[in-house]
Amino acid sequence: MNLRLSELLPWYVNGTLTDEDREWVDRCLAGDGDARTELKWLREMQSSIAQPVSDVAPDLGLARTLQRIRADRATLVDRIRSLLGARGFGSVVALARPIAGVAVVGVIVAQSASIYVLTHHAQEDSQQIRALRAEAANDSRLLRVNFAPDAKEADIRLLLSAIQGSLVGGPGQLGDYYVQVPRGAENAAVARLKSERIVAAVEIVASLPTTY
Amino acid sequence: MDDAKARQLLSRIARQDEAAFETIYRAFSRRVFAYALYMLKERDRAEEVLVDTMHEVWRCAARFRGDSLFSTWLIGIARNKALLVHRSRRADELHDDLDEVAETEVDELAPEGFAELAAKQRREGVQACIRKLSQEHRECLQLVFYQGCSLADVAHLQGVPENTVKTRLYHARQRIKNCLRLLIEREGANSGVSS
Repeated sequence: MNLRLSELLPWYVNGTLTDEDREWVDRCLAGDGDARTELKWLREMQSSIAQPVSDVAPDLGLARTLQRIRADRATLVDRIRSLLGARGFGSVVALARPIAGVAVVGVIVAQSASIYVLTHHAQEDSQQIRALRAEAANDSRLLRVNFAPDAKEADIRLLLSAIQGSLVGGPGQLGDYYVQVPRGAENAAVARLKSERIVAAVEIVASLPTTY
Repeated sequence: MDDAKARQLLSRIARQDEAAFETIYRAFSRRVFAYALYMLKERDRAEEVLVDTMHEVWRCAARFRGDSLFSTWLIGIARNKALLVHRSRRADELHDDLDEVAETEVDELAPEGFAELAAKQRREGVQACIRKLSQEHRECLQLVFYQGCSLADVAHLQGVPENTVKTRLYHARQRIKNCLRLLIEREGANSGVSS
């Protein structure tokens, strides 16, 4: 069996080959008994891989996940209630209609104040992030680093310390970490990181991503 | 569930639609669980990863940019969660990743020999051999043969070039074959003694 055919067979089995490659594999299979044996083996392996979860219910863990989601929501509602309650929200409900208008105005004022506080904090956060990015742009360089699956947190910390690096972002969905190092030290840092077994990939990047 | 349907549901989840979330949960939970189980080899921890991953989907549905399949995005989240669990394990819990199979010499089997082997193999034997592979090889097999990921998607998820994926897949296949051969030889020897 030739190398290309051997390489393509797994993707033939999982159905992700292009039409052109699939037709080529079909032609090869027609005249190659070894390849047909390998194909049969791969299909058996595919079936074996699926077997351990064949009895797993589709709602496994669903109740716990929903519980967590609702707990998050309840926490948010509690926060809002406590914020408004401090300004007499609970008593507003019990008050007579003639003074309800006054209470509503009070609530609006309280909400406005809350919104102002939240907005102000958000602005502060944004300013901090912008400051961090500006700092990264001026005095330091950013590295995107992927650590090996078996990397331990203690080893990662030691390594970051050795390259004068600090974590400024991550992990992203694909395990990307963003490490800030002093400007001028980036090449040495990259070389050191590449030499470490616990580092799977490292790259100098211009900025932090907008989302992870 | 196809990708277009998953994206529709995801946009409803971004608007806090619990019914949409339950639908997508039931459609993809087994895939996430299977992936986590292959990575961590423990059902309890795999379930934790499933719950964490789906909770993240609820929280971050609006962040899906649509530049990959929904399922690839989802497995990317699960991968990150599983790696966090893996890293938090104590070193002595990870001894079984240092498998002797990976260190043994990989023999090429003659096709006819392997046909015989394939005929004899047991499902449990294959699973036992897969469990002995390194995490990256197990993950590669899982992504290809269970998740149905393309070569480009596996490379993207594992953060390696496509050629590395091909090499991992090749070695994983060879090591399983070698492991199975050893198992069958051992079984043959044992049955010879008892008879």
